[in-house]
Amino acid sequence: MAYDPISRRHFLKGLGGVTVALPVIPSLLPSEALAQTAPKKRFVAIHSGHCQAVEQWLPDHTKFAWTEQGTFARAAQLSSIQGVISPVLGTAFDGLRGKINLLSRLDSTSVAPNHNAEVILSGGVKTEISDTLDQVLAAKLFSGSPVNLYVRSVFDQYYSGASHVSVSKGNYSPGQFNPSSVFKSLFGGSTPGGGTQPDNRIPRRDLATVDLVLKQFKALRTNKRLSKIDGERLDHHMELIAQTEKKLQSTLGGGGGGGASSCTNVNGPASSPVVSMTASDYQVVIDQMFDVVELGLKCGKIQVATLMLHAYDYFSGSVGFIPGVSGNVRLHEDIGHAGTPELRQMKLNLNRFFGERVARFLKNLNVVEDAMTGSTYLDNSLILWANDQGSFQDGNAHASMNLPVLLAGSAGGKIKTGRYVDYGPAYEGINRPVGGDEWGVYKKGRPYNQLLITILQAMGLQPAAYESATAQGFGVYGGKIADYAYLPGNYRRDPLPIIF
Amino acid sequence: MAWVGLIVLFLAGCGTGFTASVKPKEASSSITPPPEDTQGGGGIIGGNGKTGGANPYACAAGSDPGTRDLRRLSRREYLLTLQSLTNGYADLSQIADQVNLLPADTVSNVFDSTDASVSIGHIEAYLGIAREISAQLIAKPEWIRSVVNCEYASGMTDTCWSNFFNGFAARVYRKPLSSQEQADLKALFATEVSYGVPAGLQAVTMALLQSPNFLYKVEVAGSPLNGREDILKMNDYETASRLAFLATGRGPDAILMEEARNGRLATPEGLKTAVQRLFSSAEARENVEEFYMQWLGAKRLPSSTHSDWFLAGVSRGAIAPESLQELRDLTSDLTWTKAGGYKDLLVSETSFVKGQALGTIYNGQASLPSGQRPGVLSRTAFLLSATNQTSLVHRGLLVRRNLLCDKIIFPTITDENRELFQPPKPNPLASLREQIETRTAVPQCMACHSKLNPMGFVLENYDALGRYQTEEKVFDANGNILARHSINARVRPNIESEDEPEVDGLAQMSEAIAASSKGPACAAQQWFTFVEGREPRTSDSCSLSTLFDSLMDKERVSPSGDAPGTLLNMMKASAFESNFRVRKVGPQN
Repeated sequence: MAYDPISRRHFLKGLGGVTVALPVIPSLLPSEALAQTAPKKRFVAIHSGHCQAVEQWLPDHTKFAWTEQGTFARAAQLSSIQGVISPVLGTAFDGLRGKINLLSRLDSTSVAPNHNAEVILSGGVKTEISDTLDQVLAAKLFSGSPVNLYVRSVFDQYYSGASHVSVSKGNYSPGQFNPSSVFKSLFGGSTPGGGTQPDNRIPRRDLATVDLVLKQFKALRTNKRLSKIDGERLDHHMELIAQTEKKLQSTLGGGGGGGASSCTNVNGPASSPVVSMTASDYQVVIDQMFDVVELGLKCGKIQVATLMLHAYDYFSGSVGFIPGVSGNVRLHEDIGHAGTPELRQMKLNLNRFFGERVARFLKNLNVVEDAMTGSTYLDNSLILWANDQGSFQDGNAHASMNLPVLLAGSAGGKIKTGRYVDYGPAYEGINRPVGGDEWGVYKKGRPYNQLLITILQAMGLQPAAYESATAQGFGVYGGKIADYAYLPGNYRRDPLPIIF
Repeated sequence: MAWVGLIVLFLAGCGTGFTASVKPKEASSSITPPPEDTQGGGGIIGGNGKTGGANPYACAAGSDPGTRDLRRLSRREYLLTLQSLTNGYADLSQIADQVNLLPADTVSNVFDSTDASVSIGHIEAYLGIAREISAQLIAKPEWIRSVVNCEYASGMTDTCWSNFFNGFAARVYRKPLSSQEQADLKALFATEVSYGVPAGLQAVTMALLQSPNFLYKVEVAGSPLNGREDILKMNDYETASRLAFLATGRGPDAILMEEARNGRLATPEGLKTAVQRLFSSAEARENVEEFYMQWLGAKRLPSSTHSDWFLAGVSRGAIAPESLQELRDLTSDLTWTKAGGYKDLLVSETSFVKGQALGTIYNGQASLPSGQRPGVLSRTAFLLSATNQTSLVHRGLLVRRNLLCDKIIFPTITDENRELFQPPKPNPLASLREQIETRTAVPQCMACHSKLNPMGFVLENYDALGRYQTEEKVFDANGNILARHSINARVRPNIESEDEPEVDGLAQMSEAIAASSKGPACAAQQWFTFVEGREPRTSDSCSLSTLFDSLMDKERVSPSGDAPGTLLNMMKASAFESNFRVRKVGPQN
């Protein structure tokens, strides 16, 4: 394994860790630092799929008291929870309680969600939407595309190569399964041609060739012998070339976001064991995915990213190579549906495994980015960790309700953090279907769309930027949306109360 | 007309463990055929009502051909063409990181080539690969000399440019460059030439390799056919390009470009000569092999996660390579050596077992026992499952979708009908057939599973590795036998009609498929899809009809001179059918 995590850690320390320990005295800062504008916000979605067990994910309600109440919502301070937050959110999250929110009873209104990341980015599935949240944020805020990473299936029984991570213009946007390749594409790989060339010669030449290519596409576009579909394809291709052109121009212009000047000679994964994974390979790949995104965020190379921690087609193959899982068990049928105590324990082990990595990622981002304000990379970002389904005890329920959501960071102070918020109204005596215990058998909460809208607005977008003339709100409004008409305000368009 | 070509499927609720894995990709940015021009097999096969082995395609004389959209090269075509163009001067394996950034073609049903989507990943990979490939090329003076064929030390003379444009650049564009295109490339060269001629040529090569003329199959230069501006008779370069991709899966070589330049492809004899030359190449064999692998679902063979006790001495790592090699050998033998036909594909018992793993799976027999290994459906490359249990429904799905061209789609699940799809719990000690029958017994499931299940039941004579069995054993996790069941492989196959007689086992079912119209019609359709990069529409019926006849009609004289009624004859027939040189432009608004 050529990847050297120690070197990478050294880099990260140099980038942020040292700064944390220094007092922030504005008069001692260089003038260019004073002139800096606020850091750009960033967004990362992390998807771990095939159902989270709600009883493993949420806190034990006997171990804290509700201290905050909103309309059809209530909240408790995460810091008030005795012991670990929950079985999944163990001690790894102890130092993060003030920087995260745990949200419960947010429901997909889609009638048939699947197990892909698109669910947490839209509340539904590809056939129901044009663009997922990450695509909209990347396009509207950064005129770009999100970085999409996923773990490639090692089973490949039915399909391969496709990443069902993110949807753009009604189609899956192909993602990357090789963290090393993504690292190299972000931070540069080999230098072609050799010789002694000025540093900016290569991007300048690249830009010249891309300019000419765009001209060729435009010339072809004027041909009268193209169909409507032909024209649309060329238009789309040209849009993407224009994005690349813009990126090259910004490289020549010396841009690249905060901290870019420190982001030279960055150590990253030289290779990724993405073929025929073993348990240790799987851990390496997952860790590399987080590392590359962390580096990209800190160096201004990534503004929006989505990580899918499994391949979308893990249905029938054994996932015994995953730490904490053993034997010939399958991610969907066995761990997802988790019909026995043994399988539920494996589900817990698996989600702890993911949780530990998410916590490490968040802690690594929780180092000072803006010396003027002391805000951290995490403060200036929003990190969403979610699952496509949440079920109580029985994974066979296939419940796309009560989606497990952890939202970290505050998007530069736009989101109030440190809370466990229950958006289920049943405790207020509303006549909704109830049963079971406090968070057991399902009681309707709020449309998941309200979380998506909260993120969009916290990131700085107004409704006009993500709504269309014919579709208010954002995301998938499936057949179940009418069930939420009892909510006050506009249940399609409002952001979440309490945290926003 | 008794069969139905459209199957609505909801496997997840029916508890068979497939869910999204069988969900077809919706028409992406690619094809949205007009309503009257149905896309896909079910609506086309049987258009004239014929069954029982007769040509089922309705070809109306004088009808317009199907429209051809502008399509990018598939990932495979792109990489093969690059390899061919660089002619050994560049090595793609040295830039694996850049190549890996090129998104895989999302699999839509069967063939990769049907993916027409383009993402930012494509654009960045095209740029990165062009940068790296051109760097490799200009680092080799012999490459530069070969493409400019002149003394260039003091600069690119007119002769140098002429050689470069007429040779390498024309092959990249698959056509001669216009004067404007040449001028633009020279201007780009001028911005870099201060670093030397190689640097200038690198920039030019980078632009060539990202051009729409390279990345897309551009067919706009033909002449109107019968005065119709929307139906173009393609010029010789466009014909050369189509021919090259058809036969070899990559752009034209220098010989074919020369034949286009000399007008030889415009004559029947010239076309025939070119077809025979191309189909005699190693590249054509590789391309045809790729067709079979994708068609038969072997391209995505699962990794073995079988228990050691289940493998019983079969080398885990050898299963996939040996079974794929066997399928390659078998299809190659039938196509190239034996002039085999469609039926041979389904019934041939020829064995190509070369290794220990497959030898053990096939019970170590050098020649396969009669009736146990009929055709491709009986081989491990088709049958292999990831786990100890046979993938019964998946096998059925492969037969219906890949071999019979049924369309598989999801029904709409709503709150109102969701309950209807909840399956009863099967007895885990029952045979898999019984379990699947239980789990799919509700009417909503049977709408599809009545078609899928029989195809899977017939294949239950083969276990998860493809070992022949007459008895199914139900194991616990440690390999202890909990129950035994005699295999019941008797089903009503419902290939073309629900009234078809029962078959017992794969041999009889393969015979039934081979004797139907639907089986060979689907084979023709799959070849069409592979080479065209799109599913056929009703307006393609005449092309399909030609392919069907060339595959099945033993009496029909073949324009290629090959034996009629053979697999190879069908493949070559694409180049001779009347619409091959015609492009119908799709709707413009």
